[in-house]
Amino acid sequence: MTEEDSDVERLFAAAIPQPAPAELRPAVIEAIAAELQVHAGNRRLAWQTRLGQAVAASVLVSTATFLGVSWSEARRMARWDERTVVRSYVVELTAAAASVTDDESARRVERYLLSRLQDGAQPTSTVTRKDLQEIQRWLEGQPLAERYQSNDTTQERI
Amino acid sequence: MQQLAARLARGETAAFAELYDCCANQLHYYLVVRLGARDAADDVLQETFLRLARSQRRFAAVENPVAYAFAVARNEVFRKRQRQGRERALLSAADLFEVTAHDDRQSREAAEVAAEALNRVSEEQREVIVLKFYSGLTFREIAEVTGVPQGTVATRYRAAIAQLRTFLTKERS
Repeated sequence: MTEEDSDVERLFAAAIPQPAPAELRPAVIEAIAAELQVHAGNRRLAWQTRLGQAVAASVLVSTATFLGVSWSEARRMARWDERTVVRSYVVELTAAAASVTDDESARRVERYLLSRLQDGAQPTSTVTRKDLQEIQRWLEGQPLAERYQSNDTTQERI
Repeated sequence: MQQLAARLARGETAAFAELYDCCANQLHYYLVVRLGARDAADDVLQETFLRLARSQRRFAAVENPVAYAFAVARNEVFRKRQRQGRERALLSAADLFEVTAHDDRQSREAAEVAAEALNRVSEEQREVIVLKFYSGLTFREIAEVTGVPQGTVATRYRAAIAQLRTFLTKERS
């Protein structure tokens, strides 16, 4: 405040401003308290919502992981079972081949079938099972399917 | 002030009561000057404190809660004016100053002249004068409240003082 505005200052100092009404204070403080309570309630609710979402997410992840592991394990077991079934089938076919031909031919049949089984490039269900069925039909005296007849190597190996 | 700001940010009702006791009178006076009516000032003062309570967390980043309260009150004035239509408030001595029938003639005259003086300056100048004289804010704080550079605040203040001096000289003569 400079000396120049001292007259202005004196004027405003002489006029005393009216204060806020006294009855306003309790009303305002009460309204503030209510507002803060609502605010705290909302914050608690938001925290609970976040917690609920976290629990739901963890349950979902756990379930998905469990299902994934179970599924891959089931697939692995199914593959293993299939091979076991096919191996016993090979033994049966070898015995059948020995009964209708000779031991040497039966061993060749067995070697061929086992080599196809060890070939992991294709699933046994799509390759070996068809081969086995075809060989079984051949052993029962039926003619070989056309694709086997044209495939000289298969016949030669058998 | 920093401690008060921290308590306000935590949402302590007692801290809000402290802030109210600290600046409600100055805020109310500022609102009467801006709105021209005590009833409207009552409403906006309550709205201001409710808004402060709703945005309590902002106090964590506030240096001066009083200046911040003035800034919020100023925004509330704009909101109210938008709702009701913008009009320049004409101030009366009875609304602004404590004038009773028991007051001496000199006090009553001072109140009349001061109210008239405030009516003579522009709204921006009036705001700076009130914030400086009656709210006790510094130029820096007024700049924060009004959102204009400190230099602009000082210029408005000087222009207002010059106008008021001219008015007072005329009144005396």
